[in-house]
Parts: sequence; C-alpha cells; structure tokens
Amino acid sequence: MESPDVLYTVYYLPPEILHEILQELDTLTQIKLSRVSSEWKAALSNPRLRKSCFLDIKLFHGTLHNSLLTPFWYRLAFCTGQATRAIALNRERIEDLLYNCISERTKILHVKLDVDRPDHVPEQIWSDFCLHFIWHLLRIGKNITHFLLEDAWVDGSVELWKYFMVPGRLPARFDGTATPHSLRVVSFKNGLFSTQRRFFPTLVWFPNGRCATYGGKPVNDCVYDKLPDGCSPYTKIPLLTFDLRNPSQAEQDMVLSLDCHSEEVPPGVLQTLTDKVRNLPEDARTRWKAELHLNEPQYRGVEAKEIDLNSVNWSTLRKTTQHFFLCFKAVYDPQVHHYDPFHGYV
Amino acid sequence: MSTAASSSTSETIAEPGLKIKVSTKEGEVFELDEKVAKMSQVIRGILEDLGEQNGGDDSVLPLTQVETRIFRKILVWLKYHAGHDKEEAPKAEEDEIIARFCEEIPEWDQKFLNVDQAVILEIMLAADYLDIKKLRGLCCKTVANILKTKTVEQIREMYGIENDFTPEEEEEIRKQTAWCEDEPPRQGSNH
Repeated sequence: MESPDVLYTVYYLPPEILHEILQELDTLTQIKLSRVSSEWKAALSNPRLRKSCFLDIKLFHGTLHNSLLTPFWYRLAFCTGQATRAIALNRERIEDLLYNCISERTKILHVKLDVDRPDHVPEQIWSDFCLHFIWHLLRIGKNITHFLLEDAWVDGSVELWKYFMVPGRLPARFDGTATPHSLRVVSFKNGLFSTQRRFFPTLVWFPNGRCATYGGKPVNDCVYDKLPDGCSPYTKIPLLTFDLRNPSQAEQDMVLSLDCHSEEVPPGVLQTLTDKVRNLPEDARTRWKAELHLNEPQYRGVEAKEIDLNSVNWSTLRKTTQHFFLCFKAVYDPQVHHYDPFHGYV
Repeated sequence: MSTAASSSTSETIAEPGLKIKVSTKEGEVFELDEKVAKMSQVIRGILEDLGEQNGGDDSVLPLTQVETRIFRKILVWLKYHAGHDKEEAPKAEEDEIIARFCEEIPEWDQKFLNVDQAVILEIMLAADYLDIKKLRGLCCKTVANILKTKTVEQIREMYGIENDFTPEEEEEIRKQTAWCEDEPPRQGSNH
C-alpha cells in the first residue's frame, strides 16, 4: 500500500499531467486502465489521446501470437505445405486489435515490434513479414503522419523510403507511382536492417503464396548476388529517421547509417574483390570506376576513367561501397538477364 | 546520489554572475545562478516581466506551491542539466513525441527518480508548477512505467481509487475490452 502522500497527490493530479502520463502508455495498458474508475475511463476517452497510438506487440504477443503473424504464416504454409488452422481461428482477433487501436484520428503510430524471430526463419523472410505488417498498419491509419518503429526487422534495400509512400493498397514501387500518403516521418529505433538484400530485387509475397517484385528494374542498372558468406546479413542501427518530404536526404541518411553501423567485412572476403576485378569485363570495369568516383571521397577529385582498379585498397572504402562490389554480378543487359522470382535477376 | 545541500542560503557566496533569489512555501530563500533559474519557464517569465532588474537587488521570487524538501531535489536536477543540456527551441507536440521516442531515460535521471512514488509525484507537480517540461516529462514516463506493471486492482489500491462502476457498466466494459483480455484458442498452432 502506498503512503497517504501518494493517494493525496494522485487525487489532485491536474488533467494535463494525467494526460501526459497516459500518453506514455501503450494502447493495451490504456485499455486496461479504463477499468480503474469512471474518472480514468473519461481521461482515457479524451480524443487527444487517440491522436497518438503506441502498440507494444510484445504485450499482444502472448495472446495473439498466431494472428499477428497471419501474413507470414500464410506464406510459410505455402513454403512448407503445412496447414495453419490457427490462422483462421485468430484472424479476427488481430483485426480487432488493429482496428480498435488505430483509427482515422491516429496521427502518430508507435509500434514496438519486438517479436522474436523463429530460429528456422531467415532474416530476409522475417523482414519481409515485418514490412507486410507495417503496410497493413498504414492502410488502417490513413492519416498517420509520424510512424515510429522500434525493434523491427527491416528490408535494408536501396531507396527503402519508397516503401512508405503508400498509394492505397500497395507500395509505390509496385506500380511505379508514388502517390503521397499523409505519412511525413518514419523513424526506426534499434532496427535490424537486412543488408543481404540491399541490392537484391525485393520480392513481395502475397497471402496466396504468389510473389512479385517492385518496378521490375534492377537497382542502379546492375545485377547482383547476395552478400557472400562471412558478411553479417543485417545491420543494427540505433536510430534512423526518414523525412519523406526530403527523399534524397532520406537515402543519404540511410547510407551514412549503414556505413557507420555495419559490421566490418572480414579481410578474407574483401580479398576476393582483388580476384573479382581481374576478371571483370570492360563495361563492368567502367561501372566500378563510376561507383568509386561517385561514392568514395578519395576518388572524387580523380576522373573516373583514370582510376586504377588494381590499386584500390578495398578495406578503406565505405561499407556500402564494399557491399556493392561484393554483391555485383554484372551490368544489367535486358537481352541477357531476366527476372526469376526466387533468385532475382539471372 | 548527491544531496541538494549545496543549494541552501548558507552558500550565497558561490559563483560569480547574475543570481536569482527564490523562496519556497516555508519561506526558505535559495540563491540560484541565472542559467539554472531560467530552466523554469515560470521564473524565466517573471524575470522577463521584471526586465531582469531584480538580479542585483534583494527581491525574492516566491514559489509558494513548492516545499523546501522537494525544491532541494529539483535544484539538484536543474544544476545537473544546466551543465549538461543544450538549450532547445520549443517543439511542436508531434516533435515532442518523436523526441521522447528517440531518447531513453538517461542513466543519471533514472537514478535521480529512483525514489518513492510519492516523491516522484511531488517532483512532477512541482515541475509542472515551475513549468520545467523536461523534468515533468521524465516523471510522467516513470509513473507510466510503474502503471504498466500493475493490475487494475493494484492501481486502485495503490492510489486509493474507488471502483465506481455499476455491475452493468463493468460488464459493458468487459465486453468492450474482451478482445484484448482473453487468451486465444491455441489448438492447431504449428509453432
């Protein structure tokens, strides 16, 4: 039992302070607290509180495990041939959860997506699931201006910011348009960005098991492999914010964050670049020189064609540049390369 | 944690620069550095109204709602943050929320607020009265963290709140919130 001082102080809490305390709470706790008394219920019914919504998925996780993962399990069911009866049982519950918490009044959506990735699910598939879930949230919250994501697995691909330009149902790159959503700021805290797929064409999986890719154009007109074994498949970034009104800055910030927080590429892996450069065809050599000239400060003052690829010290390059060279397979040629939904451009 | 003893009247000789005198509910007078005093928007406002002419004289700003024991604690917080924080422009509500999202409660503040809940609430009310937004926000966050861990019954008991719902109202609320209260069926799970 608290001291009488606490009882006295709480009783006389000004509404503004009570509002500020309640605003700090995740939505599930807010709902729970509406059962305390009619006064608290009234405070929690304040429309101002509905302006921001904080979903701590970990709290829901115990009770809504299967339903939360619905899109993902559909896909896994497709992959493994397993029936997931639990999906049907719980689907309604996840919709209840989201539609009860997010509304047209929601301007700020804060989602703590701290759900443990099952060991047998690869990082890239998990980040894909997270993306599906994020789109779903944005479709419900049509007027969200600020989207705060915590502990999420995120696709670390080039121009990730475009994924948040939501024209109704599908992400912008799917149909090549970028209809503005009300969304203005997307902020990731402790995000795990899948760098393995940074240059890899992004696959979208649908509940029926089919998949597609956005846009259909390879990134930066090149064809890529995944990062070689030995490189960390993801990068943890403490804080990354996209201002969607300033896309070029958003991309720069993403590159800077990846450069700053990606793990070092093992020297043995970097050494493979020396061998790789020896066997590059001429068009690829030109492309690599352009990449160095564009992205590496030490080569900015040099004409791209003057760069000697055989003398490049790979370990001094920015991590994102290292990743580009490590993933690089060929310069894209529409006569030669075609898209395979499971392996990207081959 | 250090004590707030350094803020009492016996230390008026302290550092050079403009000093501001304030008095607490009990009438005890404290002398504050201008920078420290102005972290309170209330004191800042009064000083601006007075044209900052009171710095050199003996006028004392009365803080009639703040008890000495709480003011001593707040002074510790003000002095620490006056020396460590950058001055920030006022933010829009959305930006405030973003800033709170981006920042964890710093370790120093966690230790500072590692006190009885009664004291946190009193600091929070005093910070509200003095309009020290950051301190008030930290207290709110700390109280919210306490609430998260309690059941409805524990909260009622903790704060002496009477359950004033009728049985019908309770049933209605239970129905409305059933979707987030009950355990879902587990059969058929593949994991």
